[in-house]
Amino acid sequence: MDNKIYFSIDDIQEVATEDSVEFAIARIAVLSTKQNSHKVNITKEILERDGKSVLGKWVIADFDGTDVTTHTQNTHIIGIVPTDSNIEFVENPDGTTTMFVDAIISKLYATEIYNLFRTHNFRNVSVEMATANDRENEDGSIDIDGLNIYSICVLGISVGGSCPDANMSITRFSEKSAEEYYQNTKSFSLKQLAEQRNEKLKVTSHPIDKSKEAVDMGSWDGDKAKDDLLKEKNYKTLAKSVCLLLEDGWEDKEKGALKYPVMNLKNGKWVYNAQGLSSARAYGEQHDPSVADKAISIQKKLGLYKDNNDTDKEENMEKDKNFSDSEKDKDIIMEEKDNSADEKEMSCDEKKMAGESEDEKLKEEKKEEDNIKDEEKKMAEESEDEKLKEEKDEEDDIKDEEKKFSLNAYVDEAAMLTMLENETDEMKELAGQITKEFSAEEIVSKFIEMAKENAELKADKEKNDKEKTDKKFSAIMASVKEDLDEESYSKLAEEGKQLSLEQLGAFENKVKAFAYEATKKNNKNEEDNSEIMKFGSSNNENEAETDVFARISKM
Amino acid sequence: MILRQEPKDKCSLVMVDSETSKILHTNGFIPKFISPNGNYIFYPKTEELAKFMQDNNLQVIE
Repeated sequence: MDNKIYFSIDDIQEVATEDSVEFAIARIAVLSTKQNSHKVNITKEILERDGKSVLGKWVIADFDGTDVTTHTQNTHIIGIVPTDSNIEFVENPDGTTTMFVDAIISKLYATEIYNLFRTHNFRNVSVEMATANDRENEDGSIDIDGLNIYSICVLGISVGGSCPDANMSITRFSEKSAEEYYQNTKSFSLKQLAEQRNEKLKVTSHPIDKSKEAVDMGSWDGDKAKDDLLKEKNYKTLAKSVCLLLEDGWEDKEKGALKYPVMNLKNGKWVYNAQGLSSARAYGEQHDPSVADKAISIQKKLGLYKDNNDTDKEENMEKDKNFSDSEKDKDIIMEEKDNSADEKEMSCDEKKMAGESEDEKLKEEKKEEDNIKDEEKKMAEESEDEKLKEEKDEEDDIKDEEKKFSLNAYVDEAAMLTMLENETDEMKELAGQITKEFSAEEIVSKFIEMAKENAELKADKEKNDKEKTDKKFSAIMASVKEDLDEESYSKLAEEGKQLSLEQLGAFENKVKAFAYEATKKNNKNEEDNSEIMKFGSSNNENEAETDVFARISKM
Repeated sequence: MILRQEPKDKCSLVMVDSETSKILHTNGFIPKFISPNGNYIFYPKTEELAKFMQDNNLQVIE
């Protein structure tokens, strides 16, 4: 049977006002029980049962620049059928049933498609779906057991679909009417979606209490515990305690990866739940012994542990009518002893743990102190190095000025910029690390400590400099004491007392220059005196050196 | 309505690409299957379809 059915334009609705820039609402006749061109028999039962598979599925279209076309490899999503959209099954006069559903079409991301409906508010549609257990009959018709709708494809203005009555038109163009519609029907809206997402993204923070006293003996809801855990700000830390097994993907907050939860929220705290532990232990014993061991270990620590064999025995004993009271009393005493032993073990463990934690704290404090000391040393060394560098730079600058070379000729500006940028990046990284590792209070307190230490270092340095200055000054003056007269010496001494260590270099030169001059003067005086003597006396030395014959020969 | 699945019996169908399918569908031929990746579209094989494709020089994918 070649049954071509073309669809009529009979449902053009309001297109007058359009305030919303986000979305339009479309009314779609998706499928019907009428005979379709492919002779696939869609019964009312199948339509009503499997037609719901359209919820949450896409509205698609292939736009070729002028109109939408048909099912192609270039179809794009233009809208969606909300998961809570109303599905209507309308009985037709001929006894067939048509399924209607509301969909949202994006005006922002499918503007061309939306404009098509503005000019002509009707298009045929065709669902893309899969069928189950197709059986072809003799007459060529096909019976199916079920169907699953993948999408609804909007067809071109001159294109007909297989299913009669399958069409689409925009019913809500204005934001106001759309909002009213959704508020009235309590259906899906983008605002709701945003609110739902915001609700999901809300994070909370609750402390964890693993103590025996805090154990929740109330009802257990593992699913709720997982949901609460996913909302936690410090999720990654808590997850390791709340769940006994974390599978791949737990870091990405995949709920399915959180296995065997044993803690839940009680009075604003994460605490162990007795039922949760029992449940995890039971499941663990069946599926994962390591989980069971963990659960048992926690139960023992919390005093909740009961051996399964013991439990069975107890049950048997209760059943045994001949069980004597005295024996019961003994058992009670034994149990108490066991419990006290467990408690002792617990307290020992706790003490050990506390001791270990204190040792760790002390170690950490010591490490921090060492680090700070190292940093101080480094800083002091760096400051001295910097001074030396500065002095050297100054000398270099002077030399450069003397040579009359321009600095610009030697500075690679690009290299300088790169270097500065690298330094800035390093500082940013450092700042990031610090903010991650320390809280604001810790940073401030450390800053204050460092400032104090800097002040102390500065005082120590000044003291050392003073001592060095005095020493050097004394050495300078001592070296020239013999060469200078008392008056000059005292003048220079007075002058030198006022000078700093750095200025003493120049002062030393000056003092030595004075000393040199003074020495020179003294030498000159001595020479002058010797010349005077020469005029008044003979050279005895020469005479003494030569004998009589030599003197006669010289004469 | 189109079935997005591989057809069991391809002998009774004509396989075309998207561009050819646009022409066929616009001219009243209704596709029955589309391959899961969307590359190929299948039309029931009829004399009318064969004649139309021949007249319009449309290619069948073998």
